[in-house]
Amino acid sequence: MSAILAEPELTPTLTSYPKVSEADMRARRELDASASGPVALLFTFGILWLVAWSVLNLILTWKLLSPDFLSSYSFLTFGRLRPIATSMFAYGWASCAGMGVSLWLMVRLCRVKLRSPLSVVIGTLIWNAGLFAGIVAIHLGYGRSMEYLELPVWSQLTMLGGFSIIGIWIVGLFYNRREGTGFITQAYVTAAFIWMAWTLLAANIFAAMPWVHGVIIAINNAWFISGITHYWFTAIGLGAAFYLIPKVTGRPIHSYYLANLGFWGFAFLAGWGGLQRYNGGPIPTWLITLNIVATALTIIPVATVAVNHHFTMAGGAHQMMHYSPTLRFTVVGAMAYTVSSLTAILLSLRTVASETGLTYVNLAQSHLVLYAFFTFIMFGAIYFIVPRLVGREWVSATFIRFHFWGTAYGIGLTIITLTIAGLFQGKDWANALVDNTTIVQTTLPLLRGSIIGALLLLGGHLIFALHFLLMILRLGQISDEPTLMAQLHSEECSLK
Amino acid sequence: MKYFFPGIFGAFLLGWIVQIGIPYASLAKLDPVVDPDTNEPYPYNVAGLAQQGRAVYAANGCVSCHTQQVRAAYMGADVDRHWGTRQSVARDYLYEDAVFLGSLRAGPDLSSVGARDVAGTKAPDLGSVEARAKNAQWHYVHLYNPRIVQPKSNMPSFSYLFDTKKIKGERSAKALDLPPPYSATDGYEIVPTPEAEALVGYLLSLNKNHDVPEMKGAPAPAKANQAK
Repeated sequence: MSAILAEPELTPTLTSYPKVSEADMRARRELDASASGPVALLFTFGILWLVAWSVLNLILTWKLLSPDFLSSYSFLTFGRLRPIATSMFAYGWASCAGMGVSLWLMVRLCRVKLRSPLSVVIGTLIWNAGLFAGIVAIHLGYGRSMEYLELPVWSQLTMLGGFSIIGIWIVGLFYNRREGTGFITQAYVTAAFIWMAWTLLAANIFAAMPWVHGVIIAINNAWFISGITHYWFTAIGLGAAFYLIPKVTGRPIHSYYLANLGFWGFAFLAGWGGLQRYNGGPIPTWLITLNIVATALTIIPVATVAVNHHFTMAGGAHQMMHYSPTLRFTVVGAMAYTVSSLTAILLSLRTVASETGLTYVNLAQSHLVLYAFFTFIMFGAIYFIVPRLVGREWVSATFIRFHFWGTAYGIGLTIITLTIAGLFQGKDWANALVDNTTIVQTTLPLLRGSIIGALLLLGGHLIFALHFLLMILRLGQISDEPTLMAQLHSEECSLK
Repeated sequence: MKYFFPGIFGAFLLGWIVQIGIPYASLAKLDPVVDPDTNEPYPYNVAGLAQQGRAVYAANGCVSCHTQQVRAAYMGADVDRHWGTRQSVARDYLYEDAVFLGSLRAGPDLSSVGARDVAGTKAPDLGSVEARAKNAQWHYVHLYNPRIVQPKSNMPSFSYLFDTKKIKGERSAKALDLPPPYSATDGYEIVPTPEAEALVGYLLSLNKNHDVPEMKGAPAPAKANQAK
């Protein structure tokens, strides 16, 4: 504990707002104000999609256990709801939250006002309208049955239209930025928008070409999944973590050199690592081998990021996770990034994939990446940003604690049960003497466990949504100090 | 900094060219193989009912739980499970415009389900009218409610692909033979909709158990499938 107290420049955003000059403060407020409308709108859409996803996630888990539940309507069949849930999570919650966080970070870091908040609002509305229409289309049976590309082409291209409006502003902010620190976050975020636009465009157009037939469609699909996961979600998650961890702890990024190295390593490897899902399948073997090698190489950028965060946090800053909701969510997310990257390497190896390929283990892995890593960092960022949008502090530390523990236990339970179920599944499918329905029955007790996980996630999200609603209605606390998850003890008061 | 935009563009383009561009160019060279005895090409481009059935398969997200790929022996017991006589290769999918390789096996693989004698007819030729009708009937009943034929299955019921109709005159030839409690009330019958007929037509058309040059010399599975 004394290590924290000894650091003089440590305190800023943990216990109080930084002591900056009046002019600087006014400048920050003006910057924040220029983007507050669109950012709040993006968060609102994201959180609505998140709650909708949680309900759907619960229904889907229930359907695996009780297959006749809601099965008499075509629009509620498992095979349509599952792609809808994926789209809601990836394009609804994760993308809207990611865009909101990115926009706020770029305005703050580039120190440039957002000229036209209205255009970003329009972009947001177009994105969400395209997504909503696409989801209705899947309900009605117009889904494409390609993972993460289930939404019809017209829906995805509409969304891309809205996305491009927001993306143009992001690139514009980057071009007009004032020189200073924080470049690594700007690089990740700007690149993420450009990569995402290309990835969406390339994969959708390619798959829709009438002369494109055969397994190349599946290859394109797998490339897209790794593209959206890395180029979009991971890039934004890392960008946000590189801002939030130094900001809350009041310590600079340990090494800019490492951060730069990590960025370029990431840039060249991010488009890879999707095709090993077809390990042993009908696509060229050299392509799978190349992807396994690329996935193994990600150890380099992943290590640079992990080492950097570790040394930024080292020497007592971990204690701050006890108090700061932003830091707790973000650091847990950053740790999940390291873990998920290592498990991705493990799962790509042929010896491991022969046990885990085409099982629930892969589902657990995508939960680890999109939830434990990305979503947790987004939660951390939202806890940091919203008070600065509305000028009030979070209402209740208890709500934040329930949100954290509900989602942490919820996702932990989901990942663990799916992994174990998947390992049983893989072992049994590999034994030709075990018949199909026995395999199904083996996984059921574990899927029952994941029902509890789904319930915890839903509970956590409802509390979070309510808390966010109170903040948007400006019912937050009026205070000079951020809401902390635990009371500072008297001997720690010198932190202030 | 001046390397930023060229750098991120180059990184993206490199990955795309190697993973999509080059494989596309090389896979485009694949041709169907022609059977020297019958002069029939393989794979053939399915048409009509089976083509419509593929759309029903896509619309209802069957790929969420069923794969369509028989993997190499080092990846598991796919061939031993009689999901196919050999590993699937790129040529098998030559004409498919939606490729349902899948990413999860909550249920069995379906790449050659049309070559499987699901109804247990033991007919020497599954293509015969009688054997085909029996296997089709099994698929209808299974789709209507999988637990009729597989009591411990957790596949959802697709009863919405069937109509309950009042019997007018003679009972329809397509009506499902269902045991109680699933059977329709007296005077009514349960018949497949056109979607269900297309879907079953598609399932029966799925058969990738055909010799291809790239798989010649591969060891035959212990028990060969009874595909035609």
